[in-house]
Amino acid sequence: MNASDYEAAGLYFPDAPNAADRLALLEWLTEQGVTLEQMTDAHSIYGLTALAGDAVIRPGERLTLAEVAEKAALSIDEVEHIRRAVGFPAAEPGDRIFRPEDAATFAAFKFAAQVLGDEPILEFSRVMGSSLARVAESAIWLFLGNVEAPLSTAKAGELALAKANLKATSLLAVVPQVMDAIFRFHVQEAVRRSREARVGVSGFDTGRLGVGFIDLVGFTSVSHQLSSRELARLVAEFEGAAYDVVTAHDGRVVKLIGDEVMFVAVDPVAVAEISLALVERYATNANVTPRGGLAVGELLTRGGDYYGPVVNLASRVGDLAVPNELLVTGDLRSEVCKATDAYAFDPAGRRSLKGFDEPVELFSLSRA
Amino acid sequence: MDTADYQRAGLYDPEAENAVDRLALLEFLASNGLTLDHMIDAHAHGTLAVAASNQNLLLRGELLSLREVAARADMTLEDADEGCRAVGLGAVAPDEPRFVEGDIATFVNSRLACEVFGREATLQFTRVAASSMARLAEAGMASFVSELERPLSEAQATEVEIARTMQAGSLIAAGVPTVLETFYWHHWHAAIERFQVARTRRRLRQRPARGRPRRPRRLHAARPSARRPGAQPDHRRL
Repeated sequence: MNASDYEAAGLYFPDAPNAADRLALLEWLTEQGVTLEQMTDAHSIYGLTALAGDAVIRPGERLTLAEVAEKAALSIDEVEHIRRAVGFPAAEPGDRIFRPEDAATFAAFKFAAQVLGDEPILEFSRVMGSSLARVAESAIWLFLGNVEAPLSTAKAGELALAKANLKATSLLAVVPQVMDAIFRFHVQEAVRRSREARVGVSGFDTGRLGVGFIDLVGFTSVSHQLSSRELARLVAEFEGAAYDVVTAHDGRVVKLIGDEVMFVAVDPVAVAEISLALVERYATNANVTPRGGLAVGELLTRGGDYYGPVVNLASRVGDLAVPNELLVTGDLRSEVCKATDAYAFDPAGRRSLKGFDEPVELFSLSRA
Repeated sequence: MDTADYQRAGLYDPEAENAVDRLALLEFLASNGLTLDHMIDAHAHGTLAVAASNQNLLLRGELLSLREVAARADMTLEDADEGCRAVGLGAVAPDEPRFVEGDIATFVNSRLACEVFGREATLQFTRVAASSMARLAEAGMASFVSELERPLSEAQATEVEIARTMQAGSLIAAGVPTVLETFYWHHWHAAIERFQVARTRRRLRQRPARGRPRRPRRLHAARPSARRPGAQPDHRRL
């Protein structure tokens, strides 16, 4: 292929200001094995710069919905049922979007449903779908924010962007293998945590854990004054601090919702220590101030999340705290005091809480 | 292995009330490839009934320390430690044997990602992936306990019934990574599609108002502003 082929295909205009860069891109794509037809097709849809990266991700044959269902020995409805649970809309009958290997995945759902039941598998699938959607979105923004944006700002040109795209895509293509390693590790952790949390607990859906909610007072007003980049940095700092501190004390971040983190730990002392460490991390921050609520008791565990009155209690208690204050329930205080005298608990009165019939006795946590 | 071996190893007592059940369990474990040493170890930890399922889930092979893994991944110990915390491993002593050979590739990829995307962005992404996997692992564990352990306990199942059921459950758990890979790519494509549509809409919104004179332009655009009608979108593009 040469310049006149590219020109004839409508991919290249010799008199365009960026003609040299475009020609270099087309020649590089040709070197990567991309055909003129693939270039023309890509150019008319989303552009050329990602074309070489495409080849890295799951190359090979694609099947339609009917074909993959047949290969998995399932009906189309059964495959669509699974896909819906994992978070996908109905596939168009003619769309070739499935790899032949995907059939084994759909067949695995049937086996799993036979062992665990339909509903639990669908519930697990929903958790998996939302988790994977989050990871995939995060991977894309990792590229856009840290590779494409700097190159675009620097007006680096199409060839530089295409090369960066290939390099980044090659790296992001290993995300599933990385998730495999991380998942296996977390399975072991989940087994350990479940066994520890279920000591002395009779139910099969509950475990005895400490739960904490920490949020940043002032976040909303500060967020109005910050640029999107500064806001992203503030959120990233909070997330980083939350994960670091919670993980370091053998807890688990259950969820982060903007300026709030919910976490659990089997050991109530760890819950107290995590909360204080997070407050201390923000001691010198003039813009935002943490506060929180902590409780301990039997939590209902479902779909990787935690529910029940104790969770609601910790959340409500957190809402009552003033900046830099950590309010805890009497149960948590008792358990921590039994284990260590490293913490002080100042009486914070009996408070009426929404959803609770009786006033709840609270204490303000600090280091002794 | 036979009953005499089991008896010598302290795993089987022919006079015990549950002798028949225990023998069936030991034979089931042997048929799943567990050695006598494995069984003795599991018995000592009180996990004999789940020894076959643990075999499908737990890491196998020689264990390496964080210091060894970092050296082989060409990383500093500090960087490896930071990566571990982002993954959710908590405090890992540098010489504690906790990793397997296969983990080295994960550390190498983390180092390469830091070079391309930057350290903070990579750590942030790692936290997202790890918290998602932690949530998934807990969800799986909760289903396991609720849908397998509960019925077994309520039915006062025998040891071999527990072992068989747990073995089937562990096969499901062991297959999760393959399922993750499949649906990760489908979600990747969907996310790319969403992003491309959002970008196209933004470009269209930013077009000059109708009637306003447009500057003649003939520039090679990195991305055209709209999709070709009827064209099959390829979701795989960044």
